[in-house]
Order: sequence, then structure tokens, then C-alpha cells
Amino acid sequence: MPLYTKKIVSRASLIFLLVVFLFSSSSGQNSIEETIEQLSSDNVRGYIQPLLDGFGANINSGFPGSARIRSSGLTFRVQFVGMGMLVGDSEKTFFATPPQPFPQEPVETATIFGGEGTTVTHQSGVRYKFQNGQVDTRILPFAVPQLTVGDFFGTQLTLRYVPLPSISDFPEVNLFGLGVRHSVSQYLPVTPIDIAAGVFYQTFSIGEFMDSKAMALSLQASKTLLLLTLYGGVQYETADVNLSYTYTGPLPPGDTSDRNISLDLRGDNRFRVTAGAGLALGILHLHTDISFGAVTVVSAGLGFGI
Amino acid sequence: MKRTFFTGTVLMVILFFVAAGCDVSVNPLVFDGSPISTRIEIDTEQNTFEYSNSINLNAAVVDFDDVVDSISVYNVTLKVENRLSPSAETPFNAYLYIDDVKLADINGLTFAAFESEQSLFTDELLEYITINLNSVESLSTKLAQSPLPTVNVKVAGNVEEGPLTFDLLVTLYTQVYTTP
Repeated sequence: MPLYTKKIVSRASLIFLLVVFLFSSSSGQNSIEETIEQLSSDNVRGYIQPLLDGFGANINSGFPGSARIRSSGLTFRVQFVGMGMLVGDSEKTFFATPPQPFPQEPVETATIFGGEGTTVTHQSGVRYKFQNGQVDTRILPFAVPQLTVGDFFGTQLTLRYVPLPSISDFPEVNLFGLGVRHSVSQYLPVTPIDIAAGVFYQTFSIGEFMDSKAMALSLQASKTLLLLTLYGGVQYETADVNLSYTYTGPLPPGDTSDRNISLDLRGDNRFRVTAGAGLALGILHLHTDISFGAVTVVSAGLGFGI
Repeated sequence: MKRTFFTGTVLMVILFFVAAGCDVSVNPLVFDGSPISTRIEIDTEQNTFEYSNSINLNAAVVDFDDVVDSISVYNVTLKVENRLSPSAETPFNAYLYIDDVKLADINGLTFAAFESEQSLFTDELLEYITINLNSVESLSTKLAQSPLPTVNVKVAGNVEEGPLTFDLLVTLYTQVYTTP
């Protein structure tokens, strides 16, 4: 795939980080976009894959953790949930192939979260340098508001909705998510713990550049001791991203390739194990948890309600 | 007002994580510069040729808004176009100069080898193409100048017999380093 395809990924990746780094400098935002433009179609996936993994893992995090869902009763809770993928060494490098005329052998170099890109030298003396990492962070953050209502026949609904209008050069951003959790333990004889199963579906779009869909299937267990709830669970999840853009930059001599680009990408996180704790202080609810999968994600939430 | 409050609350939660120490644009940016080409038209009744044209190296960075720190060349390619004579299977010898410093000797390849764009540095053609490392360094020195100069590209060579009517497209591929 020609050079210009990088531009679509660059713009979408820039917008990824705009959403989560809203207070970054404008020069930083532009640099991320232009950075990714310059990667080959194969190398760009490796360069930004950790970013996709982080986005997918983040958006599939932060759902209500307590499995205690009554057969009937009232739950109405507004939460503000923050989550973040921990950026470790495995997220900082990947194997990329240099362009011709360099030997077509994979070279370990920096991802978007890494350090300096690797330089390869040809026997003729010419050199090629892979793109440098551009984001130095220990955590890739994300945040959403969510509303949880229930309990109807042992079922709770969770809603996420964030409509951010277009601001200056930043395009419109929309997040919508809907989840359903159902108590499993209500069908069981006396159990020492609460058990629930859930499914969550979310869509996230940024202007006309990016459309993503995320889905999670979870099985949760929890134990409530007075004000404290300890919970854990397992979850299967997917996060798919489609990037679409019309490239308007220069093309190599004689290249008449289609300028309309559509690129499908997927986060690598598929399965996670979660452990966390929640604290109920009247109408104030706090929770925090950590999830282990292809990447590690931490989340914390502050809720108000019953 | 309600939308502002809602959006502001979301931003405050994000700010908490931003405060965890996220630095953006921490390293210089490396771009592939726009490929820059020159077309050398050969048209002679003889079996030898020597033609030249110029390349404006500034064309590699004309689309950049960022401050350019340095430029390097990582590939030089040749392509034969509009060949009317001789035949594609005809072998030839050619010498490529940049500002009168020889970059490459090409010996014993046919025109067919360059009917698609071909790198002068490719390992597959190593036995037919000799690269002058001093010329690569010389080109790098020119790329360090500000403003970027226009260089003269000359192709000289010979074929078993004429006439010779074809174009040689010489393309430079560069990388552009910008300030962080």
C-alpha cells in the first residue's frame, strides 16, 4: 500500500490522542499526525498497534464491577469513570521492515510510545531511520461518564453517552455504549458470592475519519462486606476501528493509486481477568480495579446515586 | 449550560490522568520527503550519449510546514521510459554523475532491467552497479546546505550501436528530520 495511506492513520491516531490528551500542546498534536503519515502501510500498523490496543482495552473497561443485582429494587447511579492502559516495555517496540533497497529483514524499532527509531545502514553508505516514538507516558488515559439503572428482574442497564461537538479544527466526537448485566446467582441455591453475566456494546466515532465498535462479554463475581465490595471477573472483548480518509498529498512519480483510503484495524486485547474493590458511602460510590490481558488496564470511578 | 457542565466534568476526569505525566512530541520527527525526479531525454544517432538535467533539492521539503533540521538521501532510482530504440534486450553501459561527481557505474545491464523503477543500491544488481561512496557523502553534504541547492544530474554511456531514443527518469528519495 502506497505512502499516502499513512496519512489516514495519522489523522485518526492524532484524534485518538486528542480525545485523551485534550490539554496537550498543539505542536504535539500535529506532530503525532505527521509522524504516522510517514510509515509504510505495514509498518504503520506496528507503530500504532499499542495505541489501538490501549484504546480498545480502555473503552472495554470501567463497567460496574459488583455482581450484586437484586431481583427487584432501585439502582440509579451516575458515574464518572477513568481508565488507563499501562504502557510497558512490550508496548514500546515492534519489528518493522525497511524500504528498498535495504535488506527486507525485520528490525526492532520504536512504536508511538517508544524512544528513538532504529537506523539501518546499507553497504553503499545510505541510511534509513524509522520513525521516533512520540508519546512518553506510563499510562494511556481515557474517561467516560456512565449511567447505571436497575434492578428489574435481576437486571441492570448501563449507558454511556458522550457527544462532543466540533470545536475549531477538532471534529465531532461521539461515544455511545449500552450494557446489560443479569444476576446469575439468583437462580442458584444459597451462594456465598454474587455472580452476574453481562454484555456491553459501544460505538465511538471521530468526525468522518474514524468509526469504532467495541464489544465485551463478561462473567463477574463479588462479595459485599458492609461498605466494601470485592469483585472480580473474566471478560472476552473486541475493539475494531475503521479509518477512512482521502489523501491529498504528493504521490511518487507515476503512482496513480486511489486516494480514497479505508483501513480496518483491531485491538489485540481479547481476554482479561479483573480484580477490584468498591466502597459505598451513602450516595457516594467509589471503585477501582485492575485488568490483566494482552495489556494491563487500571480504572477508577466516582459515582453518585443509589 | 448543561452541555458545558457535562463536557467540563468529562474533561476534569481526563485531566486527572493527563497529570500522570504524559509528554507528547518528545523526539524529533522523521519524514519521507517528497520524491524528487529529473527526466533526461536521450535522442541521438550515435551509440554514445551524454546528457544532463537539474534537480532542485528543495522540492523534497516544499510541502513541510515544520522547521527542517536536516535531510538525508536513502535511495536513488533509475527508470527507462519512452524507449523507441534500441530494443529492451540491448545491454548498455552508463555512468551517473551528480554535480560532476560520479555516483554510479552501470555495466552490462539491459534496458529491460530498468523498465520498472530500479534502485541503484539493490543487492540483486550488485555485480552490475558500482557505487561511489564519496558521491553519496557529497550528496549528503549538499543536502545539509541551507537553502537547498539545485544540482546537476548527468548521464553518460554507450550502447553497441545507435540510434538511441529513450528517457531516463532519475529519482531521489530522502528523509527529512525536523526539530522536536
